[in-house]
Amino acid sequence: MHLLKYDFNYSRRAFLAKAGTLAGAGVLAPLWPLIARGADIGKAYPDELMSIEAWTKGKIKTGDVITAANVDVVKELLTPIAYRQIKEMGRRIRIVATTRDVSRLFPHDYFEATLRNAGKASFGADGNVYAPNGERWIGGNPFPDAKTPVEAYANLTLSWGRHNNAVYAVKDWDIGPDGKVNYQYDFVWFEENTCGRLGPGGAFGSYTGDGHKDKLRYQTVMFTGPSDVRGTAYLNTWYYDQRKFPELVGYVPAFKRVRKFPTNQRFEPLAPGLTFYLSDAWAAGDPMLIWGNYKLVERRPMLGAVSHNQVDDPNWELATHGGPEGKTFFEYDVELIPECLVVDAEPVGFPRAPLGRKRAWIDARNMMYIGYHTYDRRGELFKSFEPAYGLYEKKGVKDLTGKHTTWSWTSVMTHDIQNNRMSRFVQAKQIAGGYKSARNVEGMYDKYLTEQALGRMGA
Amino acid sequence: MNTFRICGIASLGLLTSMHPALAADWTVSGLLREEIAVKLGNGQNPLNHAGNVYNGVAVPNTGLGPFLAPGAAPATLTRPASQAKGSDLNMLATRVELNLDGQLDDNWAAHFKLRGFTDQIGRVENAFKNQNLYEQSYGGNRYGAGLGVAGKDWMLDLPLAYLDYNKGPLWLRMGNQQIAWGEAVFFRVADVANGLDLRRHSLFDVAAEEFSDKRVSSPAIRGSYRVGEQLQVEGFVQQFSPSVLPGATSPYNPIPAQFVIDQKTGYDKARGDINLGLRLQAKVDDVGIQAFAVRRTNPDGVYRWTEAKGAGAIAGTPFSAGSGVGVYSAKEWFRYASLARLDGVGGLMSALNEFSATRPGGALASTAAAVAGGCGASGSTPGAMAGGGAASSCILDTFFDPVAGFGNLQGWLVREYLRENVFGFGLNTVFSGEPDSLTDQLIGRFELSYTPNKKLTNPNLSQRYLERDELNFAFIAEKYHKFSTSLPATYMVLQWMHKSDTDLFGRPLAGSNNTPGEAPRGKRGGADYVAFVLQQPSPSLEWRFDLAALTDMKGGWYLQPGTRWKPGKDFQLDVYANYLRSSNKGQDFAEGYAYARELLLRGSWYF
Repeated sequence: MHLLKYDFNYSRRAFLAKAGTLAGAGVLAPLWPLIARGADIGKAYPDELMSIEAWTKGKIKTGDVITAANVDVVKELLTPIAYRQIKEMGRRIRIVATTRDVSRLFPHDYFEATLRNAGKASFGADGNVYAPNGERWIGGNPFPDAKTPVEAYANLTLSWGRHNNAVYAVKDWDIGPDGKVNYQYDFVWFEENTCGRLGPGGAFGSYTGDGHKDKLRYQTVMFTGPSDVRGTAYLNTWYYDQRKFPELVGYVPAFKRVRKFPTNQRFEPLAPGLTFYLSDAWAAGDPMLIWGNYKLVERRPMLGAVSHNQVDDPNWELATHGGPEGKTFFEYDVELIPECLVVDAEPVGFPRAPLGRKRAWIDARNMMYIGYHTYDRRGELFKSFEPAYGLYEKKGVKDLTGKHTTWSWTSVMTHDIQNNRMSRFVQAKQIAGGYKSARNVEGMYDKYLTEQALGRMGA
Repeated sequence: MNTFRICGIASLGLLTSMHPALAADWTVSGLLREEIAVKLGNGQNPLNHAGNVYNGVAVPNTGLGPFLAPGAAPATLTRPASQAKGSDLNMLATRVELNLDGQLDDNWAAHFKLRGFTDQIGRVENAFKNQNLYEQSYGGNRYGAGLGVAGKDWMLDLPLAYLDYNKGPLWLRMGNQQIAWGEAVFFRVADVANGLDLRRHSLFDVAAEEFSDKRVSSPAIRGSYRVGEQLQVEGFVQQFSPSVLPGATSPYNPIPAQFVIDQKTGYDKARGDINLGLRLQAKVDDVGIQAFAVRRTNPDGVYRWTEAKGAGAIAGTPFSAGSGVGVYSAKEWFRYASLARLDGVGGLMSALNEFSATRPGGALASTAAAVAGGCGASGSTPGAMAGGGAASSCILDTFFDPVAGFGNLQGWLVREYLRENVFGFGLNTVFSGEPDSLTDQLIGRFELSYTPNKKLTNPNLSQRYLERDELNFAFIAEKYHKFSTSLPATYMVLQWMHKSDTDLFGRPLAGSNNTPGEAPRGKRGGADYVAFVLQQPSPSLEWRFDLAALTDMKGGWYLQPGTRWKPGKDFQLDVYANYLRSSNKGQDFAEGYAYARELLLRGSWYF
């Protein structure tokens, strides 16, 4: 018989006690010192936060599948839309064990940099994050043990994919209320950080010239299929100053040339049927300081798809289920995350935004969001943006980034709950056009992240 | 879309010669599209025989015929009513496009597009039965210049066939390709690298698609090199390819069908010409700057009288007789000269004064002089004939008189392509006004081009082309504005273009203000055009509602409302209306285009 050291409400009381304080992660002990020592994070949390069985008093066990029949047992651990999906729309999720080795929740180099640079970040008078010498950030999470909502959002914003750069070959399916796949797109997403870089070349690599030194990242999204949108591409150039909108240029095949676009319309789909917006990317698709009224709502345990979601499909695609046609949801493995920061923010820099608020659930262990909701201006739930992550290893097959097993996102489901439209997409191995997912690619800026590149790649 | 892998593409000799151990990823995609244009009125294209406004209309014979052959020569001249034919459709087309895109390795990529297009309008409309819609008299395979083959009612071409090479800041594109420069959309100020192929629905496709289906691809090497992050140098070397016009009796024919146009002679002279272009693009603070220079053979060409050839040709003149589809009366001559922005009076005089048969010593010199004298022309000396509208009408009707003259006559033109230099620059910036204000993320653009000594068609079709220093510029304001929180932003564009010496279609302004029977008064101060475009998508982008409006502020209007519906991944429906309105005063761009008031329906299946 397993004896509990703490009663079931211990963690709830502990989280409540931390509310409004500048306490960091951990209930029984501070989390990050344990992580830094490579110790078991179980010492930071009581059993009920490390085991779904303990949390549910034995009603749910690792390996169980959560369906409409038993979802009420874990309702508190789910985002509101995930709960509705399971309760009303036929979605199911499978419980896997909580990850105790936090290094498995990061890309290797990023984890090392997070440990190495802990405590070096601070906010400048302009609200931006700076390294001790006043330079741009130097790598890893600037605030690994975020105590404020803005610190948490700085972790999400300064490095999206947590590699120097990445190519995400994305296959997307858009499902209508009837459960049928109405649209399908292939697009490739390129992102490259100009600071906080890891490995040879230093924190800024070659991005020290006048044209780069005020930048945070370059990011291109280009559709490669179907043929009606093939070649449509947009290049976002992000300033390091998070008060400034990125620059946006685009290649529209009809015009056959690269043109400048306004950058403040970030709450609109990029193509018919898509339910995600530029603003949704990484739950931090807009410069951090264009949003405001950040609020740390609470800390709480959650279920999140942060491990075991890399599958052995040849093209890294996922099985589906649920909805009227059995095609609406991906199969996700979720684990009990002992502590998430629940952060709200408002789109103060966007007049006439369709949103009134966004909420992100951020895993305290790796400071990556595991759930993201937006609310309309009436305060009603609008959309969910639910990612899955993991180490890219399964059945003995590994995908490597450098010498280490790749860690990245594997898929996302974004659900417009008001219109019941779902866009779900995977980071595929390869998509139409021959683009392959990769990380830390040499020469990415020249190849994909300039206006010249847009003109070349466009159809 | 189907992606597949081919290892060692032995069949693609060009590629394998560059990549002997090629392992490429190839993607095939494409579309099948039905395109129908239904007329919204009864008007027929007046530039075609079937729509000639004088079909069955008797006009007074103002020539000398009734005096020279009283009782025999008719008192009126009438174009046969039997030539008049109506139609309900302007287009009934099917399009197939196949794209083949291959990433050969890290640096090389290959792209091909095969386009097939057939218009079966001739099978359902008598007005266009057996008419030539696509065949050209020049170039290879009856296609015209470029990679393609054409029949009367179909064409198959390869608008894109090129290799891309990229390494670091260098990009090279080699092969058949389009090159589009410039800030303005639809207004071609800096977009000077390619001509336009107007055989597929002329300029009446969806305005938002600009000229992507119209630009004439040319074999070229295009390269660009980025110097640092803020400067890019680009250049091209390109084989000349002319703009292609719809067939002379096709639904959207833009030139009076009474003309016979020799396109081959001019093309053969220019076919080896090479166009060169250089462009610099830079960014200074928040302003994008570009400057360009192009040395080119003008793809639009210029026109002049040429000596008629073949059956019915009247030797030593630019006229041929006996076709039955020529000009029947002076009234028709003047009306069509006005429609085409030509000088009906001057055109007659240059035809008489510049061709051997009617010049001193010519076989018809004395006859022409006698007719001119009899008609009261102010000058009746061969080689120096002159006269006003009444005398010209008399001379023309004398020639058109089926008893005393030649009967109906076709005029022969030659289209020639001349060298010119185009210089220009452009600016763009994004204004950052107060959030939600008019200037919040307002994009401002300006571009200008200058063509010194540009040769233009002389309205009198003389061998001496007009020469002007042409200046074109455009201001463009683009704005995405959110009028409602529940709808995506509305996209709005306002453009103003000024052209110093030509109109929207490149016709000289010297031919504007054109009253039939009189020499055109021309237009001073240039021509101005204002366009406004609005697009409003639905929240899911499944629907998009468009409105495009163009006016020359002289009575010419082109309105195109419409919608695009994309209900799923494979299908798209476009429904657009084209509405053109003219003041019919010989000065606006829309005169003669009432026939193009139509409903355009397009159903596209993508794969």
